[in-house]
Amino acid sequence: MDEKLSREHEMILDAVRYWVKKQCPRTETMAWDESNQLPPEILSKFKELDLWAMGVDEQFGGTGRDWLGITLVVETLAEMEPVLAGLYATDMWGAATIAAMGTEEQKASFLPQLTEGKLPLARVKPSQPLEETIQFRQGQSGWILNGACKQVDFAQQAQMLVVQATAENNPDLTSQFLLSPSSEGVEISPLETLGYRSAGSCSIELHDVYLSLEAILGQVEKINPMAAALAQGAWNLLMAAQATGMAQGAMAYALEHAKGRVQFNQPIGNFPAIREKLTELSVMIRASRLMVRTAAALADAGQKYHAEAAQALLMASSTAEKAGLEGIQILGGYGYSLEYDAQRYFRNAMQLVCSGVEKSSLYATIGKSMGLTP
Amino acid sequence: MSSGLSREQNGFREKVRSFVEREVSDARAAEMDRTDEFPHDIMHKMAQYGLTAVNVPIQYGGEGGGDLEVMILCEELSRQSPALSWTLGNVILYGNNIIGVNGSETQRERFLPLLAKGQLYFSFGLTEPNAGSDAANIDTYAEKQENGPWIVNGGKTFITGGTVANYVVTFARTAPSRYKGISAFLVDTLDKGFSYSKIPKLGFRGSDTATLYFDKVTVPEDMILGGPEGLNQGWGQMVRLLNGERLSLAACSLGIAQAAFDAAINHVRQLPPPAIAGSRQSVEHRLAEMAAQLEAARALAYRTAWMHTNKMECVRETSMSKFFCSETAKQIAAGTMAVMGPDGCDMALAAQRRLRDVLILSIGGGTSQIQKNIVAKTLGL
Ligand SMILES: Cc1cc2nc3c(=O)[nH]c(=O)nc-3n(C[C@H](O)[C@H](O)[C@H](O)COP(=O)(O)OP(=O)(O)OC[C@H]3O[C@@H](n4cnc5c(N)ncnc54)[C@H](O)[C@@H]3O)c2cc1C
Repeated sequence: MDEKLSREHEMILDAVRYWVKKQCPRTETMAWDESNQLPPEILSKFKELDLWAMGVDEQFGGTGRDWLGITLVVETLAEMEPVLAGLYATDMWGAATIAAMGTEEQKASFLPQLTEGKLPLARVKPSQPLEETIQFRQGQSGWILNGACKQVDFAQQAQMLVVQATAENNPDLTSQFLLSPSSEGVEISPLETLGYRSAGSCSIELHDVYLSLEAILGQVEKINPMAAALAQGAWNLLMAAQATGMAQGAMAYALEHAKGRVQFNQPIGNFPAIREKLTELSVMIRASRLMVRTAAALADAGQKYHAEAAQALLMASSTAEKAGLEGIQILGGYGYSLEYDAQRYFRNAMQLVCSGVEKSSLYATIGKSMGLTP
Repeated sequence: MSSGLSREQNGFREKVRSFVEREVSDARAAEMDRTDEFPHDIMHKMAQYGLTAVNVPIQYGGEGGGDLEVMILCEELSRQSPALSWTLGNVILYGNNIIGVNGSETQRERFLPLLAKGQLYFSFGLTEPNAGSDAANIDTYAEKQENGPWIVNGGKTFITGGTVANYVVTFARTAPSRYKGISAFLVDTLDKGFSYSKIPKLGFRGSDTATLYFDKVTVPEDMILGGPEGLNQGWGQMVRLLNGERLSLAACSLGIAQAAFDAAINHVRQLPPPAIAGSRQSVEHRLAEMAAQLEAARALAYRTAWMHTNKMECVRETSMSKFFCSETAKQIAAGTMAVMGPDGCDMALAAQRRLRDVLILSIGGGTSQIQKNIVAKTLGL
């Protein structure tokens, strides 16, 4: 399916590849990881590519949302610098979520800024493995939010938080709220993580955070019952693209090593054990990529894609985990050394698996599409 | 859990466990990981507690234990801080074992009493840039001076404890034959021409790993391992140690896996009761699988240890234990992280460290692929 990309998509892909090659050499990305910081210059240079417009419709200044284009960008960035991929993906997710659920006023006020990459977002979603909750209730003149979320990526630089909360009196009613990180009652503390180290991750606590009625994404009177599913579908698709790119990056790195490293008078890639690890990964990566593109194409055609996105993420995340782990094994002792990059792929992949993938909810989504009630 | 172990051995396990509880807090284990500094303080306490003497024969001031006690020690230390089993390894594996098994009588008398007291560190210097899995491919060489000492030239890499060792058991080429042209020299690290640089690494931090340089280092003839008769015997001497070393590495895997499993269980236990009965089935089944995997791995490793202790042929079982325990532990450590979600990747918690730590155990001491090659060979393939 790579072969069948449109000319425009080929051009986007080429531009991003060229940019990554030029601006994100491996020595630099390793240094960013070590210093826990993505340099602001890189971000501004990245914005010059004007890729944010792909996430927003023309009436708000964008070029019309293009899921296939977005996932191509995310995947390509993740091959070398998953943090940048995650940052871009978070904004694209926010733009899609606001476009899908927001009121006209919300769209008009946020989407033009998002088009220009000027409204950095962070997604606050309670973790399922930790069984976290964030709850909302309606007060006299607005909403009151309470709860906590252990890990929120990009929270340090975000100007707006998109918070998923559940009604205090109705666990089946979930909505998204837009709020400033400096709102009263929002406590943000930095979190040191295994991977995505330069993502400015934080833990967030919400203590009686008062919000105006308009802070809810969508109509106040009629909370969208599909809000959680809509948000999660887009998120899963973007995570799957990240995982696919990461797996590709890890595999390509190990492949290069396997071709050059000689033991027992031959490149280790010649040994069936190593060759099979690499080839199996290449198969899984291809499957992941095709699944991402299928889901993206469905989304672009305005069709249901949530089950497909969940399938893609299930596949791509286990591929990324495997690629991270096998990458180290293929490099042997060098895989364990911080002077080589296999360990960064491994750490980023585990981070994605632990904090970005909630398997039971993926199984529920896919199962539902097959007629199995969760 | 301890079936097949003697009362003394179970008692020893309890003794190690109480030492760890008392002396190695969670915070201390985390600090070692963060700073990556060799834990001289804990090593000192381990020596005082007699742990450095565990496998030194009684006549040299030791406790007279063997590879099984070393396994127990590695397993228990690894539950809390795997790196400690390697820092201790610089005494009990690369000192006590190498000298005890292969040393000349003079060498034993000279080194074992000091090792037993924890006053000397040894490193095992085999791996080189061109000789990893293909360990016999070493380029480091030694030349004999006319009627005098040997001069060692070359380099080693990934050497555990290379920054702290008093002696490096250095494998060097002394004749052209691939296996029968290798000798092991006890290189004094204070000697001129020896230097090192530390390698920063993903896990087992605190146990230093180093690249070593030998620039015309002079070694007297009686510092060939086994004495002058040890010339060209290096490969055979190494092979004699393999079963013990591989079993102790398998034990490190078991300790890490046990700790990971305990953490997964604790994580699930502290969650509020599930809203819908049975809704946690997938996590519960994953834990059930882990429990079974761990039991199987431990049974294999300790049965092999029993064979080894009873001097039965167990090369195959040792290699099986080495790769099975490390690969299983890897799965358990990764599975635990997934069960714990964001807690699994929090650098302030130990779950992520266990996976970082365990990854070396399918590489060091012969990779899983090399162990499978050995097993296949013993199966007559
Ligand atoms: C933290 C650490 C501590 C260490 N401590 C010591 C020490 O104290 N002393 C010491 O001497 N060494 C030590 N080592 C070195 C260790 O033993 C080697 O890293 C290990 O033997 C693998 O060699 P390599 O790293 O060169 O990998 P390689 O040999 O390059 O292997 C790379 C990959 O190729 C595979 N491969 C190689 N050959 C084959 C084959 N024939 N068939 C199938 N697959 C194959 C391997 O399984 C691996 O997946 C240490 C290493 C580390 C990282």
